[in-house]
Amino acid sequence: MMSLLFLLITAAMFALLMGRANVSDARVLDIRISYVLYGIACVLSLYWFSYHASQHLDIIL
Amino acid sequence: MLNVMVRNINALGLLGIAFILGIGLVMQVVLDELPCPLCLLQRIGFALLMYGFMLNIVIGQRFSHYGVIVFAALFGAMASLRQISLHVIPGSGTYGSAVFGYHLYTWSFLLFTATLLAVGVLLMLSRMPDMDIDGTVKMNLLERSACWIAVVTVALNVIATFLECGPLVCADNPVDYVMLKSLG
Repeated sequence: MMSLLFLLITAAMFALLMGRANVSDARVLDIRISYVLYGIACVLSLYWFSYHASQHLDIIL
Repeated sequence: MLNVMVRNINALGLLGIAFILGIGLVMQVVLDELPCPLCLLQRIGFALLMYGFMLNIVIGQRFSHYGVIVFAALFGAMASLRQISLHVIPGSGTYGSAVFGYHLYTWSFLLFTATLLAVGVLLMLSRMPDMDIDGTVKMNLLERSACWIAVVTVALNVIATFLECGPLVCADNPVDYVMLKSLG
């Protein structure tokens, strides 16, 4: 699952580099694809952080 | 002129973080130090940070782009603080080897905090907006190289993490590469 997160961020970065804000040419990626991919990566990152942060709480508490 | 300097600082920041991720990968391969799930979350924090710097380089400086960097740095700092809290109690052991006296998760926390400070300085120096008419800015060689190095570094992390964890949840204390082991 962590590899999926890295994959999403890589795809978001690639789409950002290849994209344009005002798309008039069908061959050019819409930059909003990059934002969506990054948003999904952020939500999944927070989910996995909460999952892993809740492990081994006995050591701290 | 000032904006060009700030854009170059963004590119250098991007290169610096790509270098840090690269060091993590080299330590993983050469020293066989497999990252734990919290270590991977810190790497993800660095990757999320890099996206914010790339937004500033590719689209131009905006407050929202610096906001992305701040949120990513806070995320990474949370992940590294969580790991520090696991090892801060005497006798609870450590994870991985130390570099210049500090473990990698401590370095991560310091770097995420330094990024927050640097963003504060950049925000004071920046004059916004810095956008071209078609929504993009012209990138120089340094900025273009920094962006592609960042993409390649994160892509290498995709491969390394997939080999280590496979498609499932990563082990708490990984000792070998799950995918390489399953292939025999």
